[in-house]
Amino acid sequence: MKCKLGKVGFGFVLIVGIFFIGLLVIQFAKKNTGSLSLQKQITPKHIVLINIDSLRSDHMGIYGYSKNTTPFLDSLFRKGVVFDNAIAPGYLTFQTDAAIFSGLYPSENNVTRWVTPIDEKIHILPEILNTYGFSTAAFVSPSLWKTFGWSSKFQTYSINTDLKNIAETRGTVSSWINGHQDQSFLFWHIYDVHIPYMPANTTYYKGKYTGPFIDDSIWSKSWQTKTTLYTPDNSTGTESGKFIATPFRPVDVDYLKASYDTGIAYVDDQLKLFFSSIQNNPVYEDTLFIISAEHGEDLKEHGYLFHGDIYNNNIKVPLVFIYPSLNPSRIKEAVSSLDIMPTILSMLNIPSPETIDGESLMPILQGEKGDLNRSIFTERAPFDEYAITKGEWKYILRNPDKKKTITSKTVESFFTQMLVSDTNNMDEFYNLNNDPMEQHNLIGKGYKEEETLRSEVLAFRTRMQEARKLNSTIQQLDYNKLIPYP
Amino acid sequence: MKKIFFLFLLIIGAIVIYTETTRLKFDKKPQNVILISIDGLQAKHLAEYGYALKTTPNLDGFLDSSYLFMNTISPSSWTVPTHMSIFTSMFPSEHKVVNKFLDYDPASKSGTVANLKQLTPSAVTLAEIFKNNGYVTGGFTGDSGVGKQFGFSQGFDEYYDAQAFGGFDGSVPKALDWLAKNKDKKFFLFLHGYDVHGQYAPASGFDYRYVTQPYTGQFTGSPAEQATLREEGLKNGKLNLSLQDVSFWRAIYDEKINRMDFEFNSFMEQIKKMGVMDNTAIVVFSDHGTEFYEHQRLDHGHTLYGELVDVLFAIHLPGQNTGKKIMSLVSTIDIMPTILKLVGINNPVPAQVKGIDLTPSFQGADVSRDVFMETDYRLYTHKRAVQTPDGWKFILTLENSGRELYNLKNDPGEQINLEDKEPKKAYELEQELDKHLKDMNALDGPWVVGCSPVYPGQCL
Repeated sequence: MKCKLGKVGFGFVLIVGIFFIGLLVIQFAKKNTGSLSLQKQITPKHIVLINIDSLRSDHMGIYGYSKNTTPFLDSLFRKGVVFDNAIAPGYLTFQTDAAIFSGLYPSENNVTRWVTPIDEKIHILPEILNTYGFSTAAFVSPSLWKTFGWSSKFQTYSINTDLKNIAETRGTVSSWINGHQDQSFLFWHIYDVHIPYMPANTTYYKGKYTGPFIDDSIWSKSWQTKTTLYTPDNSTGTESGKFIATPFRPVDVDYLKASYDTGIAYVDDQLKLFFSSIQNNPVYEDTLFIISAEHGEDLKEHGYLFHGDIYNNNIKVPLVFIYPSLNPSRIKEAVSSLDIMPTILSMLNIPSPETIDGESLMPILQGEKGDLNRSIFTERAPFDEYAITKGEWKYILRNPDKKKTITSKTVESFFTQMLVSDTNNMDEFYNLNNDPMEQHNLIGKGYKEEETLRSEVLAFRTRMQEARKLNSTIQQLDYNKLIPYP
Repeated sequence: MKKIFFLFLLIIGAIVIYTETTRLKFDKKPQNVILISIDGLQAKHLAEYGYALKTTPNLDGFLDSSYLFMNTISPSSWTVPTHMSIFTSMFPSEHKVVNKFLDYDPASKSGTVANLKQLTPSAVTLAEIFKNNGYVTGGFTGDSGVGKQFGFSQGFDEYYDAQAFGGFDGSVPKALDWLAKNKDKKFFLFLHGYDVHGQYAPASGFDYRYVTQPYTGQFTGSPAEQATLREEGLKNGKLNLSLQDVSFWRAIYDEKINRMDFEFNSFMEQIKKMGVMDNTAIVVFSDHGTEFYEHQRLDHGHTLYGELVDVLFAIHLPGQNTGKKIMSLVSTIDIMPTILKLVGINNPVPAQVKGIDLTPSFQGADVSRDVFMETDYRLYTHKRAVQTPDGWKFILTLENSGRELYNLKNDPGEQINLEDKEPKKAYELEQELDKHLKDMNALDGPWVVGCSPVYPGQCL
């Protein structure tokens, strides 16, 4: 019998046998896929998130700035994963911080204006981390007042009311870090780069400047259009209510840029001192540092001073993740500040709220390729204007009726400053590779991407409008009781 | 070479033995299915589920020789969405038949009745699948929440829904007539009765057989009284009943259940006589429970607590003499895939079916998983919930983001909300629930509370 099997029979058994063994192997592999894709563990015990308010990325050496403003931060960033295209979801401090804490765009978390507190039903980052046993603290500067509603979700929420406070706060922050050996999350909001700028030092301004910006209180007293600065006319008494119109001169702009850079260099010095005060502590080695900014600054590339629009000078921010087991690298893929929360949570194996818009950057941090064509949005709230960044393209959806979006007279005082200057009512479309400063509007020039981006940003607008409608029942704050800004 | 040959033979043999032993071993593979729905029956009011009184001797006997699922959760807490979920194995958010009316305008007192074909044209019903596989199909019901207008007759050759809030006394004779004509064909029979429901009363009136203490309260146990109490509870958030009143209402419920047991038995006797038991699987379930003041209200639909969602579910196979209690946490949306497996029909709509095949539990496998519930009852509320096999339950009230967390092991009555004490558990279950809703594209509101009538005279 056995002998009669012959060659053909044996071949058959062989094939069938191999087939079944193959099946078994597949079954086994299916059950073990978890262990096959095991990656290096990155679960920090401590997380320190530092936002340097108003720091646009292209004024740092690491991002290619020609002046040596940030020697310390440059060396620090080189130890981490640096995101070359990090886009803020808002253009104002409180908008982006609310978005970072919630993983949601401003219209969705309700923080679009000074008077709109965060939707209390949302689970925000400090609250979730605290639920999972983390001590939480925030050390913030003016503008992140408790009225936004997230302060109670931090165990410690400390506001330093001095506009320039990094020299003082860095000691407090390092004490807090050094004093928390168990799991901890710290948020530090640094204001020293923000207006009013520091007086320019001689490294950045060689000549002798005598213009209006020598007075750093000019910011709260004046208003501006794209071409003209209006300062109080004190010739007939201090509170005459009259303004003197002075055209902006190139020298004013040069001085302002130098002032801005002086502040950046100062913060860089201070952070060097700060890091040296914590690096010998055992917690340092198990701390994830995330350094970013809520927004950048328009230094008249688009006619504005300050920050009020959604061009890249205003929304492209530095972003770095530094942790010993993360391999230093540069990431070209565009990401959003919204991604910070889900990234932290996924590192800690904590589920992110299902409702959020941000995406975990963990795969990218671990060396996987991201989506170079991902759509990143920015809101210009409350003006109902939006930007989409997608690959090398950017589309800005304008709202010709934006003046109507400001209805309450008291709320206007802050936003109208921006609107006075704002004559942009036509949509804009840019190629960021060829035109990073967004100077040449390509609308109607026949690029096929224009329609793709336009339809995506229109859909995004609809989503945000619906979110605002849903949030319209949330009680607004009394503007008159808020602390004036800046 | 010989060795290699035997090695292969051994491997093949092992594989054959492996597949044979894991293959389902039914007592006897059924050809036909009778699906029986006892509308409004709270599991805990049955002796088999631990009730102190033996009100259902006949049903108990049947359950004793069946696979009895001890932890079965209904996908909703009232008739319309639940039955549609059972007929489609979809969650209410998916089949969208979540209220009587799709829209209702109180001003004009009119609205469009929710209908499966219109709301979810792609949905395929259990009856349709049977019909497409050469079965004759008949449905015999108490109308109202399972009336034709919602799409429940979809796939049935014959569908009886002539009597509003009808009991088995109405649907059983029709079912038996149909069965007498069709018992020799491959058949699928759906039988439904409102016998224990709040809006049903025996034609001959109550004899108060379970009222043991003299009752001095104001109630008689009528459907009208229960309706009034239901509305009062919804309006005020809670009722103010005395212990005596609650015992009385429970006694009324027990009487209805006891009377239902008689009807159930007469149906079973008849089908035994017809000789269909030998090749027919009989599946018995309740679509939802009834509240008797467990959370200070009466009736159903308005919450997702155990008294409304813990339901009866049992499967009796041809020739089965011994029963088995299955402790796994399951859902009645599992009925459809389980029945299809039993009769050997390949599920033609795998993407639609959210339930799972429970037959592995017959051999002792634990088929537990996290189960989900929803109710949008009359637009009075929008609640969603998840329950886990290890005894946690999280309920989200969408219109006010109300969160409730219960540890059912320590607190089976869901009286102590642990949302604050167990924030991590609450957060994790909330995210799991949100993910489930997101996957169904049913996470975003607006969750507006309004009025959408179910009974005549509402939303005026």
